[in-house]
Amino acid sequence: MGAELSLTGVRHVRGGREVLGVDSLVVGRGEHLSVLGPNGAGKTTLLRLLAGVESPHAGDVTVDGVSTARGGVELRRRVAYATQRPGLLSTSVRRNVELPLRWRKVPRPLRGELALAALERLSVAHLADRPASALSGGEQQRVSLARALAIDPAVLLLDEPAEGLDAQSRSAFFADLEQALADRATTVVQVSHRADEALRLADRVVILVDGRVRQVGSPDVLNRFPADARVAALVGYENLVDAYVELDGTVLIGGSQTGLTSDLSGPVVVAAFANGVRIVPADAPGLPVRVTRVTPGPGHRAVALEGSVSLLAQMPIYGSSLSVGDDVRVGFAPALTTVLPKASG
Amino acid sequence: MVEPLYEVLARSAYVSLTATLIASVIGIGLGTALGLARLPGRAFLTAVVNTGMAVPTVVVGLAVALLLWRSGPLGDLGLIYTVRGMIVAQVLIATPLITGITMSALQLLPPDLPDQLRSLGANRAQRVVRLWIEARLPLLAAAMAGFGHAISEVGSATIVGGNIHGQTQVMTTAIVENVGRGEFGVAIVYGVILLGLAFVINALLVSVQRPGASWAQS
Amino acid sequence: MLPGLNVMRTAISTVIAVSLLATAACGSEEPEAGSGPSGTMILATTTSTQDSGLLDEILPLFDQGSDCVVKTVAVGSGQAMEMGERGDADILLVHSPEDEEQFMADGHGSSREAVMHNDFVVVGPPDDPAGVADVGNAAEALTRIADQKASFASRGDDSGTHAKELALWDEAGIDPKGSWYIETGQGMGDTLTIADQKQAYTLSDRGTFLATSNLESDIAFEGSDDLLNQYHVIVVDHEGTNTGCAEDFSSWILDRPAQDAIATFGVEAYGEQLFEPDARN
Repeated sequence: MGAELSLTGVRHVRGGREVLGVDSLVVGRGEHLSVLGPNGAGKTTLLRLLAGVESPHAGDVTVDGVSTARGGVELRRRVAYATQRPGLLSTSVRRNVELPLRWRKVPRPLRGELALAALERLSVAHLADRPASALSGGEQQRVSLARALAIDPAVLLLDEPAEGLDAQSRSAFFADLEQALADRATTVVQVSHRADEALRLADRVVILVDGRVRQVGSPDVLNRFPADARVAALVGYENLVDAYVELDGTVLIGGSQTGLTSDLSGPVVVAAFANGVRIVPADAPGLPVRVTRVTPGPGHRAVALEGSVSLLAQMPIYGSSLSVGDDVRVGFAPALTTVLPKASG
Repeated sequence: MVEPLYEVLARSAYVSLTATLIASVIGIGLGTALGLARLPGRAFLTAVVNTGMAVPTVVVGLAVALLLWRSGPLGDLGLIYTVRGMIVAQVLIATPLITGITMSALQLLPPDLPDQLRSLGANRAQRVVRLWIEARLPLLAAAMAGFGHAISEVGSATIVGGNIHGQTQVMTTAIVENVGRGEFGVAIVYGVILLGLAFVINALLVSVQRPGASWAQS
Repeated sequence: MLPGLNVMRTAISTVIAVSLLATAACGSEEPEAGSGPSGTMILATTTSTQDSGLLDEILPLFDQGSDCVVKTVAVGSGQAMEMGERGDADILLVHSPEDEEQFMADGHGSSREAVMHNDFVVVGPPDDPAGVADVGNAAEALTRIADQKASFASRGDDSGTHAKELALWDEAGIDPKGSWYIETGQGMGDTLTIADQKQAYTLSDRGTFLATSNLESDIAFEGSDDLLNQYHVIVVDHEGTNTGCAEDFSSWILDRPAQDAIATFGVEAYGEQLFEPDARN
């Protein structure tokens, strides 16, 4: 049964600098919360505080109402923390997973079963008797996760769980993770600096920048309504350009009509996904730009465009074929674009 | 009676192995405490350990003898010119070395390992045991180094043991005595044995430090 | 399994095996229970009785008939007497008559008996560069050596041999100083080896000279009255010493079997008697 986590008035200092400041954050039972932010944002610090490995300088971190500062070993045993580097011990894969079970006084026969079951869920049971050091990075990461899941924790903390894996392995890893968590009510807090990973399994996403919470919301909300340009960049918007909203609500970029409208007024920022930048027909409002580079990718082309602003568009391979030097006019798909206030941060 | 070689050899091994065992228990314990915990006066104790490693072994022998002589404060224990007295001296010689190497060994472990073990739910005792297992190769090296130091020592073995035939003669004091008697042949035999021992210990150490054995490449 | 664990297990098994073997081979240091004096007895003696091999030969005879565990420490007469003064030794076997008399006069010993005697010899390079072969007595020999500034190795350690050497210099009226006079500070065997290596003269008791191997040096001068080397056994009078064992040893070494053993020592190995027993009457 998942535990409820809360941070209240938390401030954490390291080397004289405040690295984390969270006024209030509650993670519900069984919720899967992703924490997304650039490197150095304080994500790992947040996990360490939740794991009880460090105590906050000020404020309270609780697990099911019990403060981590006072909870001691018993509390730590309900929380499984998979660190960024797998940190496996110099013994076999099987023993690595069994050790935390032994520390929790799980009887021997049961230990073996639980360990093997956890390894199977992560598709690495066939490596059970190999020395952990002989595994590849991806395999080690899976064992580390199996180790965390084997104890059936109330809270699972994941720090960049797929770090260092290639694209295909990442995908497989998260698929396995999703399945492993499917029938459990574990509360999960997952830290990522990649938007696709953060949004993939999350119930809610917390955007953390410079130790402070910028926005909290469901993946859909963050996708459609990022609070500001910084959040938009983190969530994956490839284009962030300055624009202006006229009195009649139309949005202009560099003086050209974009076809967008907004309730804001004055200087704004237009955030657009690359696949939302379209070539517009001659009679529609659009931005004149010139193609400066065309880069093929899996199933699409990345097209760099220069005009009054720089844009990156993602075009399907079939359809209009563009070459470097072409002059075109582009517009924005409203569903993949959002207009943000020009914030000061 | 001039002792047969195997008796002197066995006695040397017995004295130094016993001393190494005791010194390892003390040294690894002390080294762990100094290497991991944040004790007050830790810097001072570390300096003491380093000084201990630098003390000439003959000075240790002198200090122990002053204590153990009948006329000394611990004279009633009757340990002077006995094997047990020699073991005491060798424990004092080997312990600082083992402590120092243990401290280094633990500090060379990945720095987030103790925290990780905590987060995996290990209590303090379980953490310490697990760290020892992770550092088992350097700790073994520490014990071997202590043994090598103890068995090749001659100053304190002479002063505290007295090189008494049949009772406290060990290989090193036998070498000195035989050189004094002009029996170079016998001295060389003991010398070769000690060299062979040093070689075996080092070979063991090298074999145990195979490159693939490190897990910390993850 | 764990890579290093197999090595550890082998190492620990070896340790245990060797310890068991060693305890068996060592023999117990504890005396067996029985009647008569027992316990540890520290015999402080000269390096000459040790280095000549005499003690190795006769001590087992004492061990057979006694429960005392004898710990022989060969340190030189001067140091032996200092140990006696402190009570760090129970019995002394020394050959430094003047110092011994002072020791007894100061009340440190309860008995002093003559055990055996032999002679000192002046040992030197085979070609005898200082030409001491034809002098009349030892003091004259040393005079020749000093005049020629021939290398001389002195014990320099307060031992009986050293005391004799100093007495001879005294008689010759010479204060030995200079780079030709080497003070080794070590026992007789070591000093003989050093003298041999440096082609120097030295004063040694006959027994140790004969027993030390690998020497090129020869006896350069011998036989005069002033080279007498007299050994005494002294029971230490000090609180806490093992007087029972000490008196036992003293009686034993003056008794027939021990005295006979002393008389026959060295005859087979060196073709001559090394020590003349004094208590056979």
